[in-house]
Amino acid sequence: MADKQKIRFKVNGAWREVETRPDRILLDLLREELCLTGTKKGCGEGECGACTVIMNGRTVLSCLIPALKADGAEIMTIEGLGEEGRLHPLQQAFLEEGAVQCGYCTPGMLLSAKALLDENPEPSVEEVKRAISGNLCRCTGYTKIIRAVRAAAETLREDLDPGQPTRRKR
Amino acid sequence: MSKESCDVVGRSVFRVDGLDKLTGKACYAGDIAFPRMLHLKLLRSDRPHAKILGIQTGEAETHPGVVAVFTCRDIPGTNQIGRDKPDQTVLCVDKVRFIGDPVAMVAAETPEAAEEAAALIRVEYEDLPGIFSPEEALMPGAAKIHPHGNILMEQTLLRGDPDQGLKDAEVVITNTYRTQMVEHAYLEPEAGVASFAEGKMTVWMPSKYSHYDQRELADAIGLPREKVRVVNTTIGGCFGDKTSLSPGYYAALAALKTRRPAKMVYSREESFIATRKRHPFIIQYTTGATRDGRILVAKVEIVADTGAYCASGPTVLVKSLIHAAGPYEISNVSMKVTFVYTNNPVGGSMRGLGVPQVAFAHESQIDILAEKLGMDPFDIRLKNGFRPGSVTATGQQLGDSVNLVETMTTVRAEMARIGTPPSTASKKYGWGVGAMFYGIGAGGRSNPGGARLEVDDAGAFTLFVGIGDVGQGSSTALVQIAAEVLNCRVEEIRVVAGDTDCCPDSGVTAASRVTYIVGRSVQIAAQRLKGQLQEAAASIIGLAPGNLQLDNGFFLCPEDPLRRVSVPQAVAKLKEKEIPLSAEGVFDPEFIALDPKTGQGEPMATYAFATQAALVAVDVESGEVEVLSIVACHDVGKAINPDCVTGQIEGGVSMGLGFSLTEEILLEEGRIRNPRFSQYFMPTALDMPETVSLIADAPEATGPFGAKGVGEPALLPTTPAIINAIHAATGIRVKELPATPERLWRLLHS
Repeated sequence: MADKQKIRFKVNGAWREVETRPDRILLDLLREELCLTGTKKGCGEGECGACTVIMNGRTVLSCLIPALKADGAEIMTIEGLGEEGRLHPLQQAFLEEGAVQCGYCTPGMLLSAKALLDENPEPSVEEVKRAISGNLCRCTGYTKIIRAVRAAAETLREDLDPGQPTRRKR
Repeated sequence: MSKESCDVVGRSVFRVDGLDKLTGKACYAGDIAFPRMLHLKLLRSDRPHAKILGIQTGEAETHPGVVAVFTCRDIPGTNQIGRDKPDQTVLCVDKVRFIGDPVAMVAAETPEAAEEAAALIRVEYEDLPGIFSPEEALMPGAAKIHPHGNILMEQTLLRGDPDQGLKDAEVVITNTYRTQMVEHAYLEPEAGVASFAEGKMTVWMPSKYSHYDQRELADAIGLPREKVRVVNTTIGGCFGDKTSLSPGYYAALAALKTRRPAKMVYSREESFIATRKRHPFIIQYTTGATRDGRILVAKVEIVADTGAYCASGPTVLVKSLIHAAGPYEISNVSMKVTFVYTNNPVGGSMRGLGVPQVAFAHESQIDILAEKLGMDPFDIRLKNGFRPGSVTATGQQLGDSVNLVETMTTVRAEMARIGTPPSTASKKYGWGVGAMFYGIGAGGRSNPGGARLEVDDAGAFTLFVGIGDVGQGSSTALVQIAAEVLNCRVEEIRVVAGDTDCCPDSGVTAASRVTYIVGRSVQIAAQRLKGQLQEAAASIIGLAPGNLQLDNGFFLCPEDPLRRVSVPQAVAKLKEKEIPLSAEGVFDPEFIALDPKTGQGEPMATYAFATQAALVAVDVESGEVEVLSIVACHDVGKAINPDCVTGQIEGGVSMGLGFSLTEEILLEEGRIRNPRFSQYFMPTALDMPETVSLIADAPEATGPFGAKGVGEPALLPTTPAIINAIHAATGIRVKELPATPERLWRLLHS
């Protein structure tokens, strides 16, 4: 077994230092070393999107990223999306729209949506669909998820520009 | 506040598990870890049908990091598993019957060591002839998969005089339909963790029926049932699977022997290979009608591939029989359903329990009939469709909660509003319709669902139910029902679900039964507890209990609201009088078991109804189908939580879409050729049509606040609607699922 190596990276705003075997993947490192179990393993082969995290501003499938690649990186997991006692507008919209069922795809789905809204504050339905097309969901049929992402986009835009017209009604 | 007005029921309150799931705090079995925990790996058969001559574990045992290796000799209790027929083993004894049958297990310090060691176990097999289709299995002289032969079960149904019906019919059509094997494909692969301490085994696992798993698991590891506690973890999807012989069983086996906590997690590939599947059906269907579209007769013969073991085959068989004539009044019906063992993966419960298969057939038949008779697809369905008081193929007269007609007229109107784009030479557009009925709960047998409600000194309520939320929102709906009775907010009731140490047995999360059956039990328990508290409050105030109302934590007299008693005060009184601070409710719907020969009976107390329509675009050059719109209208009785209901419909539509067009377990001599998501195509967000979900209210008198169920009905009409739409667009009739581009291209160009 290869020797462990020390890596340093920023997770949800805090620098962390961990020792890891070079053959480890980021997903296992997050879940097992840092106890960030909100990131889920659905396939381990980069096919389902459940392990999606944001690394240096872009979504990555943490089951495909060698842990060593995270050295020096800035990572956001589901645990870092909202603040304690305050949901991120995406989380709030998922709750309000009923976009959560079994919840297993939810963390990855939220982070894909977050990366989308960071780039594109006013996505069309098609753009939302494309952004989450790598995140499989077996429960919801995606309909409420798409609606929730667009609702959150609206909230975020209002937060930036309170002069905007009033938000859509539920 | 009047009793009739519902404050909580009928509202889309936020899910009680929403916050945990949105913040990553929800605990799934795979998230659990203990110090000194062992990791487990099963060695599964790579042969479809073979005798086991010997198993050499020596090399595996000495592999670094290995703590123990298990074979069938290490099962302390009974090695026979199965609710209907215990024909499956925890670890195979003398024979393997499908590729994936568990043969041996390794417990090691790391998952890697366990996996490496499992590969070092040598199994000496003597191959037996493999049987890969029901047709082969039924051939005279076919190899016997089980000692009792290759037929698992056969059931017939006879109503009226089908032969006379055929003579009287002016139009008769006969067709054969084939459906494929389908994977549940929940996003959470199976996992289980067990710990044995002070003589008691605790197993954390996602289970659709904790109490069943507790019993079966306890028997397998040879502990008394009360020494085994199954704790349901958050369930990352189930769709009918996730009970019996899951990783929790193996974790318990290892924890018992090694006295260390143990964990097993399936890889995605293992989840594909090892778990149960939707039964493939071959359906021969004859329908006869008068020239004006009155259906006189249906004759249905079904042969299904039940795979290597019984599992829930009989349940699926009975459900398919009950529903195979569709939601139509037909006086003359005959059916024969045969479930046959093969050396394919095991067929099990999957959303719809055999009814998606038969719905594809009966809805294709009625569409073909409509075309032959020059009738509108809605008109022929409305002419024959169930209404209150109609009689089903099993001879059951339906009650009042039958609103099939409204689901049809609603969908028809919405469809007209959306309209049909004009077809071009290469792209053809068309709408198709599918309708269904679905009996809520187990077919023709008792299926009670217990619930208990407790109140503490502070007046806080806790609801205990045996069933975990599989994602559909059952915990939320059940809490809403209790909150409605107790006239309080949802947040004031805590729910404990699926812990066998403290929850009553609620039966299984299956057959769309939870809201209707367990929900009714919750309502009864809440009414009882409220009654106990009310009596105590009345004795404090000095009024008759009937004069009091419970409102936001206080019992008060509406005429004199100042004379009020808080729930904690009432609780104190109950304690003083030594009256329990809890109440139980058990609802078991009435039924009449099916006659074994004629299939006549009243298998379910109530039924749900639905109609869906699909708009498709078919590319005639490639055979590719795009589903553009789905309009769905469901009679669910009373919707307890409308967002949860439409969530079920939308999810059902997506599963129906996969069943129609893309999803298929491809088998080659029993081996799954596509055990991963890059090869097994379930719908992504890009595939989803615009879905309009509508609800037709039809309160069911025996249900909680009028509710029935929706989990499975959501999926049933989607596939026939899509397949009928393909026909409307192209004139091509698909009789074999899924309608892949290859299959459709061949039909288009033949």
